[in-house]
Amino acid sequence: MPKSKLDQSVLPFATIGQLNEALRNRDISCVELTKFFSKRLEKLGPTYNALACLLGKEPHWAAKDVDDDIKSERFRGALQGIPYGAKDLLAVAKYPTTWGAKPFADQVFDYNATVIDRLAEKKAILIGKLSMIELAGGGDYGSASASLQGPCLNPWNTSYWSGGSSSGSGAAVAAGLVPFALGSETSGSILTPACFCGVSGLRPTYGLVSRRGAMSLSWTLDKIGVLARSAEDCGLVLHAIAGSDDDDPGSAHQSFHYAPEYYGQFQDLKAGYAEIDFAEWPDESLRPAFANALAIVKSVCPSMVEAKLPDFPYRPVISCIIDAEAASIFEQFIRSGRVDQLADRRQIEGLKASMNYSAVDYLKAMRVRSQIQAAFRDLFESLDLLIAPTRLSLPDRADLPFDETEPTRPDRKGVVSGLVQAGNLCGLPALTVPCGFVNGLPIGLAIVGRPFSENRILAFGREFQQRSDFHKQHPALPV
Amino acid sequence: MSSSLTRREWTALFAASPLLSQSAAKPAPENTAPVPGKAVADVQKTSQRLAEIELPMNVEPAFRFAV
Repeated sequence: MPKSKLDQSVLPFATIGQLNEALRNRDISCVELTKFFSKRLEKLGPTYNALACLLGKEPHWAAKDVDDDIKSERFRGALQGIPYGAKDLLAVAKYPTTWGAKPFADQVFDYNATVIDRLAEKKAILIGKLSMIELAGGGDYGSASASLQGPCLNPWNTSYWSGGSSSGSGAAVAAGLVPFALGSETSGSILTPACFCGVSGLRPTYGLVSRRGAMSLSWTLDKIGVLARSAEDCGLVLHAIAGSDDDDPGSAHQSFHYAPEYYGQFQDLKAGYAEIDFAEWPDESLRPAFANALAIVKSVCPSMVEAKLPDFPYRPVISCIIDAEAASIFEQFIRSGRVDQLADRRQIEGLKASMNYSAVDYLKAMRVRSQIQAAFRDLFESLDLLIAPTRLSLPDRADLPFDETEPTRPDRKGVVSGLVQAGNLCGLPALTVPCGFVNGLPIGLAIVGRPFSENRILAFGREFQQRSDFHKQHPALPV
Repeated sequence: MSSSLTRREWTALFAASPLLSQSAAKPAPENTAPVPGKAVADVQKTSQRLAEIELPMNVEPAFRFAV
């Protein structure tokens, strides 16, 4: 147990800023803090099937270094001494990197992913690797059980799924097992678990964060991002991990400095939304909570305007691109039959079937993608942000196959239908923040901006969180 | 040694040989198990949906992914 002067009960759900202040004030040592979170992750991680691998002695030695620095008043920024977890899709030297999949259970790399090295430079302490949907869900999947660790359970109600594919990252942050976690998104894999677990999740602009050392699912869509307690914490982590990387062919060679104070004027902000997205598209039981969330949004930004997404077949376009790129990446894995060792039947069949796409199909999808991008450039000529519900339903049950029954939705479309796919096809940054609770489960609000407008969407999320306390609530945890 | 190959043909032959030898040395084992119908039908449906989209000939594929 920590011998700190700090009340232990506040530690699991403290923000990065609060933990950093406690370290600087010597209310707790970094060794104590690291041990505290490592023990929580070790004890409670398996309860949610969120833990892939606990790190050994390295966190302790890194924490000792931080304590030495702090004793000498060498302060190195907001992440100094903050423990965190990483999705098991990121290479960590000498530890298994399983990609959530049994056929890769023994895979070990001899180098760190760039994002792991960048956080180490900022003196953040990696304490564990977190579970994920096998191969980040390439080929699609039929249930929460599509993971080496089994179905990742939602800390708000363990009968429900945490979302995927960054499943363990969402659950571990929600349960207070780590202050923040790294995740990845190809199409929805950060926003969905962050939304379902009631935490803040940031999908950066494509190319802003290096993917070197991350499993490839789709070269033209993969992004590394953050799941954390608040928009502010997401910004602090992005500040540390963003930047040019010559070893990532997709690098945009852009830097990012978190400075939301320069984006805090919302009076004249042009935020697009559609009333129908909040009033008619969500499942009926979610609509009152979304109406309340929209009222808060309107209090932040009084000059909101009705918007509508350009009309494109987003789903087939992104499906073809992900499937065709994944089929190429995993070609040997599929042809050799090792694919049959995956846990999820639908995923096995989906990956095999993906080999049937033709070059003409793929190029057609990429040509339509360029038209989608042009249409979004036009849309963002007159808008600064798009705002919509992150998900329209509560999470699926963790113990049952996903319900594939298409819910009845209105014919008239606003923003939300296709926003995840379109946002990823255009490489746009997106933030989800918790915006209410229904039957004890969280719901989320998505804020999407122009490429490289992370400061703007984070500033908006931060303001939303200053006017609400959804992000401060946390689930009751097992004793 | 006489040869009926031209210099250009020899060049082409040498240039191609590393690739040939690599693929001959490591043939990819083929998984011949049939893929069940629904997943294949989904791919066909997506292909069909894409084929129905009419595009001007001058529309090029996306080459930048954050725009």
